[in-house]
Amino acid sequence: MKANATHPFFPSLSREGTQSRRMWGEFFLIFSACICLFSFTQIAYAQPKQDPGLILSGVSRNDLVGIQSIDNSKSIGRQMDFAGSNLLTLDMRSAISSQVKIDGSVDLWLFTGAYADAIRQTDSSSILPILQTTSAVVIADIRKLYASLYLPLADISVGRQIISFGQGMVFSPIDVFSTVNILDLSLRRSGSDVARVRVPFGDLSGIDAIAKSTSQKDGAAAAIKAYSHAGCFDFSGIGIYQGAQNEAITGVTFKGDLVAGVYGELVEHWHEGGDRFFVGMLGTDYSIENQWFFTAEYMFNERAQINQIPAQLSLLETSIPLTHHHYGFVNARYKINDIMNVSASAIADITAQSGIFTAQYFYNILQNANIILYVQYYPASMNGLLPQNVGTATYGLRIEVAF
Amino acid sequence: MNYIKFLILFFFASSSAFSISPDDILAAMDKNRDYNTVSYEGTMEIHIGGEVRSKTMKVIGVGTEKALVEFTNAQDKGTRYLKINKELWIYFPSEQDVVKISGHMLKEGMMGSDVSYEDALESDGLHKKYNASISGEELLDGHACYVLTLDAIVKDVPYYKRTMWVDKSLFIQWKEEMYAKSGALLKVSHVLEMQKIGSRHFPTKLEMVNMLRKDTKTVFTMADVAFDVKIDKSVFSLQSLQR
Repeated sequence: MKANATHPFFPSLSREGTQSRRMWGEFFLIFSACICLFSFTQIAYAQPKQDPGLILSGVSRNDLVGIQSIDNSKSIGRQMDFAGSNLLTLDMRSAISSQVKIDGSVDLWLFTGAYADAIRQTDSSSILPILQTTSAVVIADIRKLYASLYLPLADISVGRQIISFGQGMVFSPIDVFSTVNILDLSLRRSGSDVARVRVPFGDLSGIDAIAKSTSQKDGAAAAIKAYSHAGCFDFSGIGIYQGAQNEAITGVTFKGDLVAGVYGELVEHWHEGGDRFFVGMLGTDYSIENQWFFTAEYMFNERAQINQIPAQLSLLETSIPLTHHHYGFVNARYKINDIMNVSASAIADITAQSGIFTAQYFYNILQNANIILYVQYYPASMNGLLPQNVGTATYGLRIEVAF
Repeated sequence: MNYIKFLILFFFASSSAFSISPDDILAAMDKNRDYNTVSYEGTMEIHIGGEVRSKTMKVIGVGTEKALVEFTNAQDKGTRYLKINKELWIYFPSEQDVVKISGHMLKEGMMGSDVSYEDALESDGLHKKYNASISGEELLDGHACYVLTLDAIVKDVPYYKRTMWVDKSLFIQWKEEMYAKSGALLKVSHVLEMQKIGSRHFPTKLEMVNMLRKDTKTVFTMADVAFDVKIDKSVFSLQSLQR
């Protein structure tokens, strides 16, 4: 097996993986404080939908793929490798009472074939390997684990959570805490270790404040988001400070209807010394006759940093640095019926004329089981989304079972 | 002379047969559906060809303006819908993400069913949007019914014309046909079961058939229906949606 190709099935391992162990001490300290706080706030405030008790659920996601490397510069330029990726996601939700909830989600990955080879070649210090053999690698990732306390005036959550501030499906420049993994077929996000306080002002408005735990690599960060709704638009204003980069970020987001659905994020980055740059994203979605569904996004980054893309991305990287000027995303889905659809999408680095092209067929074959057949193609590019010197086509079969 | 007698007799016979006005019928139907709050556990069976997919959910609502739905079946567990007036937000628990549903998407079948988001979002009384007339009386599955025709008087309606078979004594709508502006039949709904809950007669099992789709139907069943229960109204908020 040859593992020369970078590949889409990057597990959602957070890059903070190594920091997570350091963070646990702080987490449990804060969690204990929350429990103590709760004991002093025995305010009966009915929340009828939070049933006490532990709820376990999950998804098993199994991929079998053939990876074809296409090197047009060689006379025998095609090689097929095989790989397997089995993801078991275990979700846990425990409502201790109507005021306290613990929520968690753990990913267990089993990689075989070319994927296992590629992981063995990456820097394993950033992952939590459970088992490594000559043919397989098993790794774990705590994607979410946080405790929430619901008080009459505010909701407080502490621990690893997914922070989704923006509106973008693929490109979300405001989401610096939980970035979208554009290499993941399901476009999942990674978790972030934060303390979060949400204060409502009304049904559709409020404030969401976040403090990120300090780590040597990322530094401290804090953010505040004020959101509201007017007309048929959701909108928000966001301010973020990232200590490691000594950077302030301000932005606005919106989503609403203008014949088609429209959404966007307008973000300004401010650095010490007056250095600043703009990143913007505009998106739209539309459907025809309840059968055709379209989504498109465009992102502009004022500051291009072409040389900052690493020569070879780690297989376990969860986010690709989008440091070129122009990016685009288009997706078209045709619904054959309510259990079957076909779709095609492209995530393009327009500046580098590179991209990720995906076609898939989805079939909800049983009550809780889906089959997805897909093809992904990455053209050879040393300067695009995936720096690599050969093109790669992946032919995959995914079986998903929810329980 | 005989002609005049016939007209007089016809007039009295007609006025006797339709002694109730269409607006009275709509008002009586609304009375059956009128509640401050409601909660129930729902099951949606989606039939596609020979295959059936089930979705289960818990629903609470305030009037017809606000509703919160939480899906409990394995595939959609924790997914929540928040309806406030004519707008809809979905919470996806795996990504902790709230997405506002775009207006054009509201015609799409809810969770793959024959019930569109628009059907679920319909909140205004029918009398505000339709001009009603009684077009006859029929016996439908043993129930004596008024046949009510509703023609849209405003543009912002999911269906331009509706025909309803309304029980003459219970004021339950046993059957409804929904038409497009072109006259094409879009959907047909049937009430399969009805319960008396308190003083109300309430449909607890309905079937919806989308006539534009081949070989599909959705059967929606409500259990543990309770009206005017105590609900903390702050649950109908974006903040609560993410809890």
